[in-house]
Amino acid sequence: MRSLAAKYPFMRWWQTRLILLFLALALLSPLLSNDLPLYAKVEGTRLFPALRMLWDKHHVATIESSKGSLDIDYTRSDWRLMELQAVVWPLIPYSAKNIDAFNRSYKSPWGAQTLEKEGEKIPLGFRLRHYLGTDSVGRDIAAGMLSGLRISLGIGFLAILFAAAIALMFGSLSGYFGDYLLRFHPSALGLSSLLLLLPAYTALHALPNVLFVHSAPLRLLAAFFFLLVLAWLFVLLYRFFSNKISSKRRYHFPLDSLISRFTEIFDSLPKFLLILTLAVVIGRSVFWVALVIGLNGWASISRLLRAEVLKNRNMEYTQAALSSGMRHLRVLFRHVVPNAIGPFLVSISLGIGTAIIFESNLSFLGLGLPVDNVSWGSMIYQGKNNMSAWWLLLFPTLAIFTTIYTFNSLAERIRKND
Amino acid sequence: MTRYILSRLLWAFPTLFLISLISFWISNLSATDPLEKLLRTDAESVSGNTSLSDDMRKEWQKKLFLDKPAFYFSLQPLAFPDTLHRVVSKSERKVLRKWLWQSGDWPWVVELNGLAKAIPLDQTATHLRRTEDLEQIEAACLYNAEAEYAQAILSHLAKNPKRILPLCIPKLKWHGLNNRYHLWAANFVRGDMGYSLTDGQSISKKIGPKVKISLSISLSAILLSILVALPLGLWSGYKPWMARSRAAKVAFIALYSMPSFVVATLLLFIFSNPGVLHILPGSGLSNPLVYRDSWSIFQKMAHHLPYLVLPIVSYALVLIAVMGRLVQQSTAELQQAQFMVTAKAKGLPNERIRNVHALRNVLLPVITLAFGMLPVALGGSVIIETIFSIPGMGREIYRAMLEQDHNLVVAVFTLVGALTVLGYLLADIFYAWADPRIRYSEA
Repeated sequence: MRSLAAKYPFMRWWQTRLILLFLALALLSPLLSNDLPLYAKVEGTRLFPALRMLWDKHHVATIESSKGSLDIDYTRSDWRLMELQAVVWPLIPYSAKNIDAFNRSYKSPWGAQTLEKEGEKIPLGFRLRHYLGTDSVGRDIAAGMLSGLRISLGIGFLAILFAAAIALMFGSLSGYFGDYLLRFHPSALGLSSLLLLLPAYTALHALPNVLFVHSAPLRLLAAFFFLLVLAWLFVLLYRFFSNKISSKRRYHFPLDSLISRFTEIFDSLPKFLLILTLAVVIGRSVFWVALVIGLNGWASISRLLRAEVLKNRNMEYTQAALSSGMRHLRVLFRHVVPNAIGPFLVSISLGIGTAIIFESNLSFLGLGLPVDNVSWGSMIYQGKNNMSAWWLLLFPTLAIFTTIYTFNSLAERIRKND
Repeated sequence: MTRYILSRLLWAFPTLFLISLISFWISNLSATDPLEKLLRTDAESVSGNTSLSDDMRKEWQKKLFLDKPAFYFSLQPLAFPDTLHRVVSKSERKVLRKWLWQSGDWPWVVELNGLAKAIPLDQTATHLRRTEDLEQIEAACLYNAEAEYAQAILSHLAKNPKRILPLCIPKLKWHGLNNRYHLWAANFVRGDMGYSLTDGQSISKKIGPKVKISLSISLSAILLSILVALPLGLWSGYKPWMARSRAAKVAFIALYSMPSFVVATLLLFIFSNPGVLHILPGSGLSNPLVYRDSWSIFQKMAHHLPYLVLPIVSYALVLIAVMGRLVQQSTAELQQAQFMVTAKAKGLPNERIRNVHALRNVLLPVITLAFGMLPVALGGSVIIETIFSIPGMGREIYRAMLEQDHNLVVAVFTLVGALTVLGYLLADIFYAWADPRIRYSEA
């Protein structure tokens, strides 16, 4: 850690460390909160149920013992009620989605929590308690906190990945090439696009539908792949024609104006309504919700990056690199973009916070992921409807606040350091 | 100046076009069949009868322009018929399309549809009419191969031509102005936003009174936030090295890190909770047991006031975070500006520099922000209105989303989008008014 911190000073910041901790918690959450034990010894046989469930969702263990063979269906059995010779529980011995039938209707963190064994009620032992209480149907809040962290970070990072990819392409290209750097050969451009019209339709609409009639994500993926192939073909054709045609006429290609206008138009869409509508119509899984949120966030990042690239583009080091014979794209991505990365990272950090806010808004309204997913927003919604269950309000609120504050404060820190 | 405004005005049109296209696309994307949705609720409310009469179907199909092609032109494979939009049911249309992608021959698909429709109603296989995958249909038919319908379908499936070529060649067909998008957009411009799918009422009539409520709440929240954030930002940003300014910065960022529903829920928890403080009502706009329509306007306002405090404050708090941070940042950045140094060198008192010289420069981003928020004010804050059960636009949109009333959602989306464009336009004009540099450089 010390050498890492010496090489990368940002590893010393509390914000980075906290985010790394959050990421570790989110990634390890199936082992940190699980209603299956990490290790259990039944009738002399050693079992590792929580680990097993990672790849085998419907495992049934068969145990040979003196009393005959015994089948344990991992998902169906309540391990708390079993006769275990030895057991190691995860840190939180419950999963977020599973319902504890004995502790329904808002059990407080330090109130009575019970377990029914062979018809009689016994209080839960300290190790098996719901440390942060339960909700109306008996789901564990501590486990829900981890599940919420997983959902928030997952959607936050995935959304910003989409947004940053689009912004990186649009913002850097429009900032670097401007309106006058790119020139095109009108007849070569016209001829090659004319030749590609028919293949474009076939490749982008017909082929994906013929190949993958029944899977929308696969169709999207196929169309994207064919788009890359088409772009490559276009470049080949354009080069061929511009070499063949002797005309010297070239026109400026107003790349910057086109992209800037497009960004502007996109920026004036009512974002939250669009996210809500799209989430209702196409959403309902982490991928789609993240895509919808990401598609809404790229415009501001792109504008910022464009301004920064534009500033760096006119500096002397760019001119030096160009005059030493470097090609434009190489100058852009090896010199200009790395120098403009500071403000880009600031807006990415802010963007993750915004994406998490959008996600929690959606799940608060019950319009995000399917309702059986426990997230911070959905817990606060329950807490709002039953104010006496303060633990449903306090813990998720603190979690949301801490996470977003960390990202916002990281942005502030990068800005100061830059 | 005029040229500047004109060019901004010109750019508003493609934006408006794009917004209307996106809304239209969204409403077409959803799987719910508008006709089915509308007629089920309509028939239930009229007679408690869920069967759909053909006349009503036809009437609503006309009213919603569902018998017209979707757009000015259609670009689809050669194998697709031009008249697919005349198939009334949306789910049937979808299935026919999927079958076409698997066979490439329209007459064959029509025949298959006839065979599927001929499956007797007492059979368990009627779901095959809506099964997209031909292989699944084949498997189901093989499963009860002795049935008459199954043999017919199986022999027909065996004749599947599977033509790829007509699927790969596009066909461009021009439909003219008599299409769904054009009629919808033209009506929208005239102020007729179509019909709600939950009760068949006109959307314009339905949202009229709700707009008023949302508008008054959001506008007062925006006003309140400007009144608080502007002085606070100026005061804390003027000397950025002081402890008070650092504290204010942390406070702004902290407030900014709270989603609006968290702020609202916390306010509810503190001020409208028998367990803590119960001094303000937590939901609705009035108490129906006390409220009288015959009251004078002041009495009405006095009655509404306590109900409005929490929504307005929680709405404003979120805006204050954004705006205050913005003002503080721009004030801090102004410190190096030459006109500020000159003003100090002239010996002007700090208050005057801050409240005159700095304020005027800081006003610019605030104008943009405030005008950018105007459309949101009309759309109402979905979150705030849902939490406080205020019968405004936000809650209406939420209801429409839950009930899949896409017509209303899309109408409001388009309206809010159009107002966003207008808001930015106004902001640009105000910008030019407030900042002579813009006025002179662009004129």
